[in-house]
Amino acid sequence: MSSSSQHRLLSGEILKAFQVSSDPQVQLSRTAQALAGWLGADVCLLYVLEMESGRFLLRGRSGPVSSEGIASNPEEEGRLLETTRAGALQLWASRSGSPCPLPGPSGKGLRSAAVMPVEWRGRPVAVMAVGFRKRARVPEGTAQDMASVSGALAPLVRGSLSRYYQTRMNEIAGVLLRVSERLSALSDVQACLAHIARTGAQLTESSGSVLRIQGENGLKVRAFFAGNLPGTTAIDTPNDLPFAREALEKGRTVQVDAPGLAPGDGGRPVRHNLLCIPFEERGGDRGVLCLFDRKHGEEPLPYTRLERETARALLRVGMNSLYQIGRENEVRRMTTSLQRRVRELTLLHRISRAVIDREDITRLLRSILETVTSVEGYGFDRAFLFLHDPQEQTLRGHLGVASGERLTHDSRDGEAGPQGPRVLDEMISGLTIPVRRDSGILARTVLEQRSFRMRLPSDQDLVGEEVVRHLGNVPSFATVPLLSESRVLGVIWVDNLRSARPIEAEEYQLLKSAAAQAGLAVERSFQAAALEQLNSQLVELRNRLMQWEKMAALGEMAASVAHDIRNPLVSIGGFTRRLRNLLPDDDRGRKYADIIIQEVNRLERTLANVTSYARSYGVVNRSPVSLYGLLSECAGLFRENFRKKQVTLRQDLGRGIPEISLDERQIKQAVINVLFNAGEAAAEHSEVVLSAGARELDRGPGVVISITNQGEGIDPRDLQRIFRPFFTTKGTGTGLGLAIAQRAVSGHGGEIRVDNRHGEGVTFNICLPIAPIPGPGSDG
Amino acid sequence: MKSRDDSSRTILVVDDEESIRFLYREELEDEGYRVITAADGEEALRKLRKDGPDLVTLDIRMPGMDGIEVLHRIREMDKKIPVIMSTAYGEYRHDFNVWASDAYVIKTANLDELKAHIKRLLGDDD
Repeated sequence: MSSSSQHRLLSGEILKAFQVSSDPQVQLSRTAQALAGWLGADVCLLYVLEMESGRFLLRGRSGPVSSEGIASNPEEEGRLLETTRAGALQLWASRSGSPCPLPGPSGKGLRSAAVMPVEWRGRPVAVMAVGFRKRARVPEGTAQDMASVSGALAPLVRGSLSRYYQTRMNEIAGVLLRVSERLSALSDVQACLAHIARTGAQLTESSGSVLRIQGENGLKVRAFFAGNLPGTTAIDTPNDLPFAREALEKGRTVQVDAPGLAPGDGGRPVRHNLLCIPFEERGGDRGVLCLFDRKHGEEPLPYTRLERETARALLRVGMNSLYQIGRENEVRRMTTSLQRRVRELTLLHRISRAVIDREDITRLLRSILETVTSVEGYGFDRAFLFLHDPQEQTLRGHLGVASGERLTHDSRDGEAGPQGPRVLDEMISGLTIPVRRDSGILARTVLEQRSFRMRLPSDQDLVGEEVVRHLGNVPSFATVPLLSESRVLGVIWVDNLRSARPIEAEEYQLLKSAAAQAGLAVERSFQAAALEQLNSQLVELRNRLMQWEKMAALGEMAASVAHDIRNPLVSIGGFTRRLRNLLPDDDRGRKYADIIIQEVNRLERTLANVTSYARSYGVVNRSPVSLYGLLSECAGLFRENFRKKQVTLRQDLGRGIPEISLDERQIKQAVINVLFNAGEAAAEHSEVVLSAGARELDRGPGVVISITNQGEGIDPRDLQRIFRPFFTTKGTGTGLGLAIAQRAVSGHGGEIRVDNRHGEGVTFNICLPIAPIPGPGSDG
Repeated sequence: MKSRDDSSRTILVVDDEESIRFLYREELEDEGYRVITAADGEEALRKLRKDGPDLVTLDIRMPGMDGIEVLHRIREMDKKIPVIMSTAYGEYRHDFNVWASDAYVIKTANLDELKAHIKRLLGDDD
C-alpha cells in the first residue's frame, strides 16, 4: 500500500503543514490529517511531550476537534507513557479484550489501533496513534510506514515546538512587561480592568474577553473586549457565565473547546472556545477572566497551556496594579479627607480667633456661609442666616450665600468678597418669621435651641409656609441655631436646592461645630464690647477728674488773679467813661474812649467767664426763683448792647412762667452767655427773641428758655464742638461761654438743645426740669 | 443829675484801693449823693460812728480787718443801715457771713448795677 511516491507526497504535505503555520497545533493537526489519509486510518492523534510537566498532550488530530480537546486524563496518558517506554510500536485489536490505548472518545468504536513513539536522539518527544474502525487488525505495512514517518517527524516536532514556544514566550514576556508598565500608569480601576480584558484577549489570540467581578448579586461584567471579533457587542456575550461561576467556585481554570458540549450542566452545546480563569485581588475582590474564541483564521483552536499561563501571568500583573491603584486611591482619599479636616479646623480656628466689633461678626458669619457653600468646603447649594430679635420675637433674613460665590479671602479682609449685588441677601431680606411653635422649622430651631436635618422632602407645615414661599420646596436642608450663652442669636439654614443631594452626617456635624464656634465668637465680642464700654466710661471719668483737678487749680489761680486785675479794670473803665462824658460830642477823643470802654468790657467778661467756669464745678445752690424776673434782668443787661448793633431784643415772656427752684446765679450766667452769643452772631437789623414757657420734658414737667437769632446759623461742622471748653469761632472769646452755660444747665438736670437752621439762624433751648423746691438748709 | 444840697444822702465807700474810692466818689457825687470814704475797716467804723452815713459800700478783701468782719461790726452798731458788698470776688456770694448785707455786686467798670442797688435801698427808685 505504501509507495515511495506516496511517501514523498506525505513528506510534502507534512512540510507544507509546518510551513503554513507557526502554531504547533495547526501544524500537528494538519500532519495528523495527512497521516490518517496516507495510512487509511479513521483517526490519527499526535501527542507531544510537554517538557515542563513530562506529560504527553494531544496537540494534533485528524478530523474535527471535539470537546475532549487537550485535557486528556492522566490515566490514559499513563498508558501512552508506557507505550513510549517500550520504545516500539504497539498494536492493538479490540478482539484482544485489552483496553484501547487511544484515550477518550477518540478510542471509542475502534476495532484496531497502532501507537508509536516518536523519538529524538533516543528520547521520546511525541506519540503517534492511529485507529481503524472497520479493520479487525492493523493493516500490514502500517508499522513500517509509521516508523518511517516517525523518523522525519521527530525533529520537526521538536524544532517547531521549541521555536514556537520561544517566540511566543518572548512576545508574551515583552507584552506583559509593557502591560505592567501601562497598568502601573493607570490610576483608575475601571481603566485597569478594561486594559486587562483587552490585553488578555490579544495575548491569547482570542476574539474577545469578559472580565467579571463577584458582587453582591453575583458575577458582574466589569470589562468587555470584543475587538478581535467583528460584530460582537456587549449584549452578544458568549455564554461564559456558567463556566465563570464554576471557575470561581472551584478556584481553578475551566476550559471549554468548541464546538462541542459543555462539561457538566447537562452537556449543553457551546459555540465558543472558552477559557475562564479565576483571580483574586490582593485583599480585594474576586473575579473571573473569560477569554473566548481562540481562532486561527476560521479554524477554532483549543486554548493551550501557553495561553493559560499567559493569561494567569497577565492576571498576576493586573492584580498587582489593581492593588497599587487601590492603595493610591486610598492615599488620595486619606489626603482628601485630611485636607477637608484641615479646612474645617482652619475655619473653626478662624472663627475662634475672629473678634471684635459687630462689623467683624457680620463678616465672620458671611465667611461661614461661604465656607459651607464652597466647593472646597461642603458644597451646600445655599446657606442663609436669620437673626433673632428677642424683643419682637421674630427671625429676620439677614445674609444669603449661594454655592460658587467667591470666598472672601479672610474674615478680616474687609474689601474682598463677591462683587455686585448679593442676590440671596435681597431674596431673604424681607423674610420675617414669628418665633412661634406653629411657624415652622426655623422657629422651632430657636425655641428648642437644637438643630434639624431633613433628608427627604418635607411637608410645608413642618418647614413653614413663609419659608417655602421664599426659599422654595427644598428637598434636603439643615437648620442650626447660633447660640450665645443661653440666647439664640440666629439660625443658619443650609440646603441643596439644585443637587437635591442629602446632607451627610459629617457635613451636618461641621455645620454644628462652626455654628457653636461662631456663637462663642459673638459672645466674646459682646463681652469685649461691654468691656470696651466700661473702659471708655472709666477713661471718661478719669478725664473728668483730671479736668476737675485742673479746673480747681485754675479756679484758685483765677480767683487770686481776678482780684488783682478786676480792680485796675474797674478804675480804667470807670474813669474812661467819665472822661468820655466830659468830652464834647464831636471830640475825636470820645471815639477813643468808647474803644477803651468796649475793650475793658471784654476783659471783664473774659474774667467773669474764666472764674465762673473754674467755679462751676461747685454745688448747685437752689432757691425758688421767679424766672420772669431773672430773664427780664438778663434782657435788661443786653438791651443797650444790642441797640448799638441795631439788633432788636424781643422778650416773649408769658406771665405764666412757673416759679422754679434753681441756682439763680448759674442760670443767669447761662442765659447771659447764650444771649451774648446770639447777639454776636445776629445779622444787623435783625431780631433776637427771648422766650420762655412751661413745657413737658422727657422726664417730666419743666420750663424751656428759648433764645433765637437770625443770622448765618452755626456751621454744621462746628455743631458738635460748640459746647467744648475753649472752642471759639470768634477769635476774641475765651470759648467758655457755652461750656459754662451747658454745665450750669446740666447741673440742674437739664439740657441745652440746639435747633440750627444753617443760613437762617439758631435757636438755643435751655430745658430745665422743675425740681421739687428744696427745704431750708438744703442746697440741692 | 441831682444837685448837692443838705437833703442829699451820705454814702460811705469802703475800699483799700484809692482809685476805686476816687471813682466811686466821683460817680456817686454825680448821682447827687454825699460821699465819704474809708481805706480800711478801722477808718470805716470810725466814720460810720462820726458821720452817720445812709448807706455803706463795702469791699471784702482788705488788709487788716476784712469786709466780712467790718460787716459784723456794722451790724452790731446798726442793724438797719443798708450795706452793699462790692467785691472783685464772686465766691463770697453764698458765704452765709455776707447774708447780713443787703446786696452783693461784683465790681465792674460799669457802675449801673451798683447805682441801681443804692437807689433801691435808699428808696429813691421811683
